[in-house]
This record gives sequence, C-alpha cells and structure tokens, in this order.
Amino acid sequence: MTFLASLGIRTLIVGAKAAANNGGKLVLLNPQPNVESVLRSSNVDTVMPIINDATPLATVFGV
Amino acid sequence: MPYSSHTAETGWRRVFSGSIADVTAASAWVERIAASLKLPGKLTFAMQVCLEELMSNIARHGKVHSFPTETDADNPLSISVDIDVLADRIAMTIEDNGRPFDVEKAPAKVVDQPLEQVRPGGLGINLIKSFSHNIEYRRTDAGNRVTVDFMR
Repeated sequence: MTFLASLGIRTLIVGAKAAANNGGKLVLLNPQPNVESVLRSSNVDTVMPIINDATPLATVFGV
Repeated sequence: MPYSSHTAETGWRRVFSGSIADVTAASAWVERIAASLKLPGKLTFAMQVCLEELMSNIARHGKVHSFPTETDADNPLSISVDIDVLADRIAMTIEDNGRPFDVEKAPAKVVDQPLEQVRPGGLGINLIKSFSHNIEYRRTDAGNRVTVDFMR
C-alpha cells in the first residue's frame, strides 16, 4: 500500500476494534515510509503497533 | 494544460464535482503534474494527502445531502483546484461553493484515547496541517477558498 489518508485510517480503526473484540490484535507490518508518517502523525501507532521484520513478536503479542 | 501568470512560474487549474470518483481523479491529476515537475515523492504524497482531505471534507459536508434545499439542487457542488509553481514552493488552492468551513481554525484531532474509545473519523484536519507548510482560509462570496503551501 503506497497511499493512506484519514479515510483509510478509519477502515484500519474499525478493523483493529473488530480484531480486539475477537481477542486479536491488529499490527501494521513494514508500512511504506509515507504511509508510516501518516500513521504516526495521527497517533494511530498508539492503538495499533507498527512493527518491522526485526521486531521481536514477544514485544507485540507478549508471547 | 499549464498556464502562466505574473505570480507563478507555471500553473494548472481544473474543476471537479464533489463525487468520490472526482476526488480520486484529482489525486491522479496532481500526481501527473508532480511527475512532470519531477517533484520528490514525499512532496507529491503530501500534496495528495492534503488534496484528498480537503476535497473529501467538501464532498461530505459542503452540501446538506440529507436535507437538500432548493438552492443546493440548483447549485451543485463545484470544487476548483489550482496548482501554482513558485520559486520556493507549490501553492495549491481549493475553492468550493459549499457551506462555510474554516479549515484553518478547525481543531487538529489525533488519536488520544485507548482503542475501544477511539471514534473513527475527524483525523483529516491534522493531516492537512501536518503535511503542508502553511494553510490559509478565506470565506468568499461563493463559498470557501483554502490555500496550502508546500515548500520545494
């Protein structure tokens, strides 16, 4: 995905809530730099973690 | 086609409706202009984010679709977009004939609550303010005019 604005964030938040309601967790893996800047400037990363390939899963899922 | 004026080195202008298809078309139009100017990807992206947020705000709130008035029916939403290339910046001006909305004074909301309490929506103003270098709003006789600047 190379483009994201508030409409897409809305979809992500709905998805993250659905995941949480089912005992899951939505995480964002390796977003494109421009997309990541949209996520971080909106503080979206505070409710769905942004991770990369090097992120230990234990820090995200506590496993 | 580009035009020239005494204030801008080069400029483009197009008029769109308030449809979602036109929001997408406007974004593609800006991308083509940015490519022709060889603008950096980050700048192109910033212009597209701001344009999409401004246009989708107008499309969603510019007219009262739930309770259309006679005036609205006779005066469909029209959104003009001007891209002016200046020595130090790109100025993007969006004019519409919709209801007054001062985007410059609107609160820049970000996610500031736990997920279960976050209400989706309302994040666009912050993105416009974060991804542009300056924003200027003016109420016009016909509607609204917003100019956002992007430093080159």
